[in-house]
Amino acid sequence: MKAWAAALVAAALSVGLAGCWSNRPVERRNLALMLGVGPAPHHQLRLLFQIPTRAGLTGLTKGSGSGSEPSFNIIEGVGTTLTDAFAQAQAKTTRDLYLGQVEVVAFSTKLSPQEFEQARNMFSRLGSLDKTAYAVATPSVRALLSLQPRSGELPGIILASNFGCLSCNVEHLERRVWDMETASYNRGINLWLPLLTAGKSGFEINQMAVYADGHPVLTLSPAETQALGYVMGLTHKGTVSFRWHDHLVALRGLDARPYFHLTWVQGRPHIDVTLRITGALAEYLGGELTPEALSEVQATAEHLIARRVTAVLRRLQQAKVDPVGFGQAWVWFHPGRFARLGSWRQAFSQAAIHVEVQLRLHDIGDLT
Amino acid sequence: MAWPFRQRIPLDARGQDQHDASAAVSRGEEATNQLQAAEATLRAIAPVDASGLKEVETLCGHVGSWIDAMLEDLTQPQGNLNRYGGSVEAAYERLKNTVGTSPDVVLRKFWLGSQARWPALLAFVDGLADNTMIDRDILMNLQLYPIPQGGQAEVVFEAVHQAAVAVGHVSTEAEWDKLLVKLIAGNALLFLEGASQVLVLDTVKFPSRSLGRSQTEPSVLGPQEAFNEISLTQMNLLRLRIQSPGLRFTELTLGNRSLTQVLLVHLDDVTNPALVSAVLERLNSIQRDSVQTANEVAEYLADRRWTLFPQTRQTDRVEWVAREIMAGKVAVLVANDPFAIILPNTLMDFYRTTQDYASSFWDTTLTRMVRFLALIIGIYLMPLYIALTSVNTDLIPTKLLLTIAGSRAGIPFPPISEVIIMWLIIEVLREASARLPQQMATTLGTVGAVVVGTAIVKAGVVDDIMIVTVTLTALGLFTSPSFELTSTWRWLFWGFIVTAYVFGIYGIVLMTVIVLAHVTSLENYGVPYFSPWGPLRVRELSDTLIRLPLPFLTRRPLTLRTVDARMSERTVQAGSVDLYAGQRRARRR
Repeated sequence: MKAWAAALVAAALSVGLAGCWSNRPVERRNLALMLGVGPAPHHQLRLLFQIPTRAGLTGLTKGSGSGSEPSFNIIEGVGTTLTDAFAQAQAKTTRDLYLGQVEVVAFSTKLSPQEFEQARNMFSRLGSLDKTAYAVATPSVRALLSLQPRSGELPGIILASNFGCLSCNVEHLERRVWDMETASYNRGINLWLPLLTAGKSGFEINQMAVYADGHPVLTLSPAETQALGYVMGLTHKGTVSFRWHDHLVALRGLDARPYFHLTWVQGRPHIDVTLRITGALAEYLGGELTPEALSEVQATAEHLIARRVTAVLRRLQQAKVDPVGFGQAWVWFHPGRFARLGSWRQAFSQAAIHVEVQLRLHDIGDLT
Repeated sequence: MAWPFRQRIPLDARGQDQHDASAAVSRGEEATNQLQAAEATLRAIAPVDASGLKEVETLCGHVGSWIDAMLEDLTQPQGNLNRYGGSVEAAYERLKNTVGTSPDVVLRKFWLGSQARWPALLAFVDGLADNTMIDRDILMNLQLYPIPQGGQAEVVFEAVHQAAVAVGHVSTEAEWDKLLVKLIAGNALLFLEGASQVLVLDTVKFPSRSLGRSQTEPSVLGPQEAFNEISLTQMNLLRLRIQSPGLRFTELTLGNRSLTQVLLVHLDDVTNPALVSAVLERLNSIQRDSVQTANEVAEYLADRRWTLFPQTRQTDRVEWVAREIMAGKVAVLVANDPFAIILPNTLMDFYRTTQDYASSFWDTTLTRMVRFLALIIGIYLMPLYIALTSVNTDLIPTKLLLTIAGSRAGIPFPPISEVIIMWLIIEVLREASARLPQQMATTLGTVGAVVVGTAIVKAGVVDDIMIVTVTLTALGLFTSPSFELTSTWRWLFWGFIVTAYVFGIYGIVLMTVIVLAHVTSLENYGVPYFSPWGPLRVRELSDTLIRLPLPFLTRRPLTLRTVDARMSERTVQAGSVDLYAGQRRARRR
């Protein structure tokens, strides 16, 4: 009898203390799929939530677009802190704003370093926020969150599918919220985020914004992003075109395996970068493709890619940012020397960098 | 012609006690006479309704006759109320006033012998006794049997016993309590005047249905025969399948009033004797007035009575009972119930069927895996749905969550209420179809599935995904091949639902651990319920989720600790047979 009573008490306590009374079914929550942080007037912060509408949800269920009705709503909150902004946004809706399924968190490139740090700090502390959400930088948060893709699908789903697909883009520019936390605590590396813009035909993801001290100090062009992607192992479907003896040559599917070696010579870092790239010959107009010609094509492409990579690394040196993580790799092996170094960014800006490219074209005929 | 038996017994020649007894008899008759006189007086005085008095008079007559009969027995030399005293008339009165009040009990007084007439009484239960045997083999023979003139009662009795009745099984009995039991069982009782014993003639005719197919455990391949309610038929069917002389039937009678025959069946040279004696001991300890079903015995045989998991398996498949007995288990047959109880069992035993051994091992392995998968779906699908849509919404892939949210848009109830509604509908349909004839049950199932399912979605009470989930759950839970386990999983299903709603995924894991801990703690007559997984017996895994070819299954389950552990020898080697090898050898020679 005592055992039964104890079991009943334990069951009652478990149910009472489990907090199940606050559980809300999924349809009674406002599922935020995209979250944007941007500056607001008077040194305030703007928080935007992209919430799918009922039309958007049922359109998803039926496997078609939502028709004339918008597939999502934007709920906005403004406040001195993000907490205030969140509270204001929550006050505008009768349902619980749920952050557990956020797919994309967008940071405005116009945020001040303090505001950016404030946002990053809050998101790292916010337990209900899904830390696996993709983090992006964007010039205009409102424009990004308001873009309705022509397919009628929910933007958050499209972006998540895009980021999650390794072979869908030239560069696999995937950054998650937890990567931001990692970058903020790791030494010898600078934070970078993919720069996501709302174009006329949809989202454009082919640029990279490199941060230093909470501010995007460098925005790389698509070509520079691709070149840096070789060094960072992010470029999987790179292309390069050039003229060789009046023949138009194009290579595609360039996939790099980067190796680098850092040594200190006379108090200055020397970085030897080796890129082993494989790819396919996409176009070769005019003339017969002999083995000798193919070797020369490869050599020309190697030279061209090395030049481009060197150029982008020089730009990084000039901006004193190291998104690749040369310094981070070094600190793992020499933490004491790194601590005595003072500023890695300064040292990196003075580093001697040598890039060697080893290209091997494994496919010269099949253009599929 | 008046019945002269009373006059044939000289009451006045039996001493003082007999005089007292006769005085008592006269007092019984006297009371009846006085009542009759009183009734007549009343009628003469006035138009009084004397029907009440009439009833008392009738009752008094019965009681008087009964007392007369008992006193007749008491006045015999052995002087015992529970013993037949040799008076056919007294036996007649006694039977007439006890069991004879029922219309199916026939008491036939007749003359024995064609020349010398010897009073006799034949008692039997109409319907339970074979009328052909009564008429042709007993009555006709007895009436035509030539009894010598002036013979002694014991001589006549012996002649009748040895030569007159043409019945296979004849025994003698004198005690009334045993005679009545045998009479009710369908035997015919032959009372002879002056004899000290009664002949018990086996005329039992079992009212039985023909052997049919098993309705609870249908099988596509293999034997289809199922037991009927008759113990004798059950024994015969088992004898046909196990012709080993080691097959033993131990008979018991359970039920203080129903006196139900129960048979404990085992293989003497295989089954662990400790198991047999333990089951026998437990059977003997059953004290009930009535035993009508096998389950009334089975519930006494379980080691743990409060557990949800069944410990005894009940089946009406003859082949399956024979197989389990051959494996070293015991079976308990209960008269009037076609289901035999098999024990001890493990959880895996409830997932084995006849078809598993009647079809190829590939087919069996696939079927068992499907059953296991269906069980997992049945138990976990709905709790996972509840947990992921109500508690741990961050663990579900976004696209799937949005699909669910889209499907649930506008539904007024939370998922837990939907589950309750849907499951209630399923249980009601299930119960209704079980109570209806087969043809109507099919219609009801169709109506329930199509009409109610479609209508409830259209009405917006339940969403589409819930219908799919509930259907898969119901199908999964009902794939359990043994009937006993279905209710177990249905109960546990609700445990999982509640914990999933309260604690989410954590609750499902917690519940799983609790169930596993409970199952591994169960034992049934010393056999671990979760074996061969817990404790792990690698060799016995060959007949669990997968089944190896039968030549590889050579041993009986180790946990049964049988006298003979080996079930078969691996004498047949796989490989091709060369039919022309002999010819080639001859040519070479």
